[in-house]
Formats: sequence, C-alpha cells, structure tokens
Amino acid sequence: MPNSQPRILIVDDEAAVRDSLRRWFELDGYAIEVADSGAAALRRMQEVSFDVALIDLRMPGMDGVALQQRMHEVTPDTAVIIVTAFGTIQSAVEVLKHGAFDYLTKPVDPDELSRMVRRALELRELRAQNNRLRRAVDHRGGAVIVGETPAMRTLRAQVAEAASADVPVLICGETGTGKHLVATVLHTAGPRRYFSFVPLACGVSEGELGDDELLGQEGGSLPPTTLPRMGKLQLAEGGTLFLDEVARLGPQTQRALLELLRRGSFTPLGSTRPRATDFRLISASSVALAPLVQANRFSADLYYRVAVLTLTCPPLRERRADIPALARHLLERLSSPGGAPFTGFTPPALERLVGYDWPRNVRELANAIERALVVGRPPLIGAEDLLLGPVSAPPAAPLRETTTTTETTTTETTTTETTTDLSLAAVEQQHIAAVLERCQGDRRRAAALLGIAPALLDEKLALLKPHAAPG
Amino acid sequence: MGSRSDIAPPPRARPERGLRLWIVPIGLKQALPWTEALAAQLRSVFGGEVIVAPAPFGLEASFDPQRGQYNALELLERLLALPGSQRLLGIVEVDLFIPMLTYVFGQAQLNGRGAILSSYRLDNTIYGLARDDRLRAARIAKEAIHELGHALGLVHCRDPDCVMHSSLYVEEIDLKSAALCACCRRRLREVPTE
Ligand SMILES: [Zn+2]
Ligand SMILES: [Zn+2]
Repeated sequence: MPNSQPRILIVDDEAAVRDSLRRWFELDGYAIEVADSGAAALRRMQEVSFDVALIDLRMPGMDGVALQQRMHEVTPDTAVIIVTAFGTIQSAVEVLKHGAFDYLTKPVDPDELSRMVRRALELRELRAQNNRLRRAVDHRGGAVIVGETPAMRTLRAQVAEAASADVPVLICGETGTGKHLVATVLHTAGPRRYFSFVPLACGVSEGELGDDELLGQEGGSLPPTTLPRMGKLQLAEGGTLFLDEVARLGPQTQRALLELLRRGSFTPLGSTRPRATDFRLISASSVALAPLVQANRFSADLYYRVAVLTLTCPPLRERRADIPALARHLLERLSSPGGAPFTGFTPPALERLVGYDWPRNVRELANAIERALVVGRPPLIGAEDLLLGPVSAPPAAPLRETTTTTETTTTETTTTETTTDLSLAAVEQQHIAAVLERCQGDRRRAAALLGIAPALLDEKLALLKPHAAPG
Repeated sequence: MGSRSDIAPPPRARPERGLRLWIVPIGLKQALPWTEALAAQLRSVFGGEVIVAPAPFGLEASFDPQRGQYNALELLERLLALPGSQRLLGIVEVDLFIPMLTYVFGQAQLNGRGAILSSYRLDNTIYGLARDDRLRAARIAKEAIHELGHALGLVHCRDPDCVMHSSLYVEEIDLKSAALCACCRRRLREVPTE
C-alpha cells in the first residue's frame, strides 16, 4: 500500500465497535487506528495526523463533544464524524455547529458509513487542493523580492528583520528599484498586516502636501452637507503609512509630521480634539536625504525619526546576474491569463537584457517586457521585440501603410513631409491614431506599442477625441 | 492437490501453488447442491483444493435477540478456531450484522485464515421479487470470491467490473463480474501462501 493511504482514527469505548469498524475500513484499504478514550485519541493525534476521525458521542471521561473541540485545536484539518445513538441526535447536531463534518446514528447502514467517509475524504482533498491553489495565487499575486545576488540576499534578510521590528524604516534607492514593493513586504510580513497599508505620494503636485489629505477634516469648518473627510492618518490607523518620495515634503508638512510623531497624536482640521495615532511609518526616497539635511532642506529631527532603520535597494545594473530570473518572473506576472503563451526569452534577447544599463531599473524592465508581450511572437521573446533605451518612435515603415488610410494624412504624400510641417501635438495625435488602428482599437496593445501606460493613453485620447477616434 | 486437474482453469491466480480451502456450511437447512457448485467455481478461480466440510457447531450462540440477527464477528471467530492450516469460508443462510452496522453480506479477516458469507440478502425473495436460483448462485459465487480475496490480502478495488469492487447492495453485486481484474490478480500472486 502506498503512503497516501487515508488514515482513519476510530474512538469508542466499546471494544466490539472498535473492532468491527477497524475490520470494515481495513477492507477499503484505509490505515486504521483505534483509541478507547478521548484522552488516548488526543495523545495519538499529537503524533500522527488523521484524515478522518469517527468519534463516539457517549464515552466516559471526555465525551465526543469535548474531544471534537479539543481536536479542532490540535488538528483542525481532520474531518470529524460523530457516531451517536438515536436518543442523542440533538447533541450530535450541536457538534456539527462546532465544525464536525457529519454524524451517524448507530447501527449504521454500511452504505451510509462508507459513503460518508468517502465524502469526508473528498472534501478534505478538495480543501487541500484549494489551499495549494491559494498558496500558488498568493505567491504570484503577492509581493516577492526576486534576486539571488549577494546584494539582494542581504536586502531580503534585512527586510525580514525590519518587518518584525515595527519601527520607522527609510527605503533608499533609484527610481524603479522596487522601494514601494519593499514597503509592501515590510507591511505584509510585519505585525500590522491585518490593517491597512496606506501609500501617500509626497509632493506630486509640487509644494505642500495638503494638510487635509494627511490629517483629514471634520467638524465646524465643513459645510453641513459635507461628510467628514478621513485623512491618510486615520486610514492608516493600526497599519502602515507609506510616504513615497519623502524628500519632497514641504517645510510646513515636515513640521506637522514631526509634531505628530513627537506627540503620537494629531488634530484633524476643523476639530479641537486631538486623536491618538498608532501606525507604522515607512518612507522612501530616490534622493539621498543626508545632503538635504545638511543643506537645511530637510528637517534633521524628522530625518532621525523617519530613518530609524535604513534599507537600500540596489540599482539593477549592479545586480545584472539577477536579470534573467527577474525577467522570467516579470514575464510570468505580466502575461495575461488568456494571452499568448510566452515561455521565456531567446538567448540573444537575454543577452540584450543583461547588457543594458536600465537607468529606470526594474520598472523599465517591466515596461520593456510588457511591450514585448504585445509585439513578440510566442513562445519566446526575441531580441527584436525588446525596445530598450529612451522610447523612440517605432519603425516608420509598417506605420506608413496605415497612416495613409487615416483622414489626417490622406492629403499628404509622404510621412516625412507630413511630420515636418506639423506641431508636436499633431504628430502625437496622428501617431496615436495610427497605432490604435494598427492594434484594431485595442488600447492595451496600443499603449504597449507606444511605450506608455494604458491610463496615459486614455488621458491622451480624451484630449484628442474630436480628431483622433479612428474607425 | 488431487482435484486441481478436474477443471481446465481460466487464468489462474496462483498456478504454482493452489489454495487449500474448506467451504464450511453453518446451520444450512438443505446443504449440498449449491455448495458443491460453489466449490467448483472457487476451484476454477483460485485453483487448488476446495472441499465442503459442514461445521461442527451451530448458529445459536451467535444470535442477537435484540437485533434478531446473527453476529458475523462471533461466527467468524468460531470458524477460525477450527484446527488445521486450510483456509475457511463459512456459509450461512441467516442475516448477519457486525456491531455498528445494520447488516453485512459477509465478513473476512483481511490477510487472514478465512471469511464468512451470508446468502440471506442475496436472495431476490427477501426484496419481494420472484425467486431466481441462478441469480442467487451467481451472487453467492461473486461474494465468496470477494471475501476470499480479502482473506488473501486484497482490499476493495476501484475497477467497477472487478469482483473486489465493494458492493453494498445486491444490485451492485449484479453489476460486477465474478473475475478479478488484472491488477488484483497480480497483487494476489504477490501474497505468500500458507
Ligand atoms: Zn469487501
Ligand atoms: Zn480489482
């Protein structure tokens, strides 16, 4: 018999019942163990795991209900079937509420007994499959720091340590090195993972971070019809506040933040009542903060509070050995489920990837792969599918065929003549229209071909709408 | 091993060493016609020596007045207490049960010396259907082979056509064949005899 033989534990104080059940199930090829009391059963369960336990409801000492509850703590995966006499169905139903799989009344129909055990095993197998699937999905969808170079191993170890430390962390690194990713990992691997991770991009719109965005707004200063606005701090309560590009914080926000960290409380705008705060602060910066501190452009006090621990994400060009694995990882993540099945890269493509300098790091690598997935032909991404370096206009030849069919260019004779006379905006408009047509209106593909995010393409299309809608 | 050559056997489970089996009727009203036929059938499947030898004990002690049935485990125990090294297949016409279960067609000692089998629920008349002796004989043969298979170490088989497929209703017995599947035959050969 293989080891995969299902294991069944029979718990009954009556020897004849134990014996007959053991014989019965042995004929089905199951591995059977028996226990004559709840205590004996629990002892055994701590040593061996069982797929199914058949438990007599009425036993001296620990009865079936008590055993089932204790078992649930020890081996929650074991399917419990309660065996009961006719008079005690009520209590059997009680046991079901506590997570037993089902119950049987004795004497049991042989057919019913066999089927129930089989169903319990099937359910267990289904659950196990689901768990395996979920783990696989978590692994793919969740944040993973990929790389086996010494720099990345060190970073991973530091992240693991910092995650549990629950102190403010500053993550440094060039644009696109994965600072945001590291911040997510710090959050999800730390004690605050069940609360929110609240990212806040500092100084996107230049200057000060809106106070109301951070602190929220409530009470008298608001018109009566407006709902109080939750600030990021409130959203992050119990969880993590991630300040991206923290160097861009204006002096006023720096002071507010420092005040807040000192006191452990803040006062929402329009309110007089301070609120206690409890969140973990993680900050990221693509520029070194120390020179800014020396130049008095970043508060030294705030710096020391923000950077209790500092982690550094190495640039991609300093860990070229990771590029093939990282590229494969990104390929897997970026492939759309129904899309063309790409399995990897041709050797020349890998050579190009490893040889390139990646000034925008992993983000740039991801963009290059995302585009290659659209233009390449499965199963392998070739060197010619990779558009590296500053995004230049795609090759003109194939585009010209299509541009001639669009309204804007029908009067023109050649593209060169066309573009020299047109404004930049008009060229862009014309080019977008042509690419969209080439992609048969598929915006995702078009965005990839254009080397921009789909959202940006949508934005541009909204602006160009009156002229550019093809077809 | 005298009777081994009596019948030209279809693929034998263990051609090199036959089974020494006693069919032991217990408390049968009229014994012999179908027990002899069964012996011939078991010989053809397992080979070896099969004889009919009535039990030196009756059914009375195994009767459970509360359930109105006979305790299969108790009967099996008595049967296996018989002296000798031969395998034993006890046969009864009364309804059998084991503690916990409402009824059983039979009961075997897995990898043991023997098994017990009841013809009671294999008879159409208890289901209110017309008497069919040939069907009953066929069911008895299948269950006998099945229980002996257990005694020889076989567990239930997934192949629905195999005689070792578990059947909890007579209809299920009718659906399967009287033969061991290739897989069970191979497993049987691996079991050391005596
Ligand atoms: Zn069986
Ligand atoms: Zn089989």
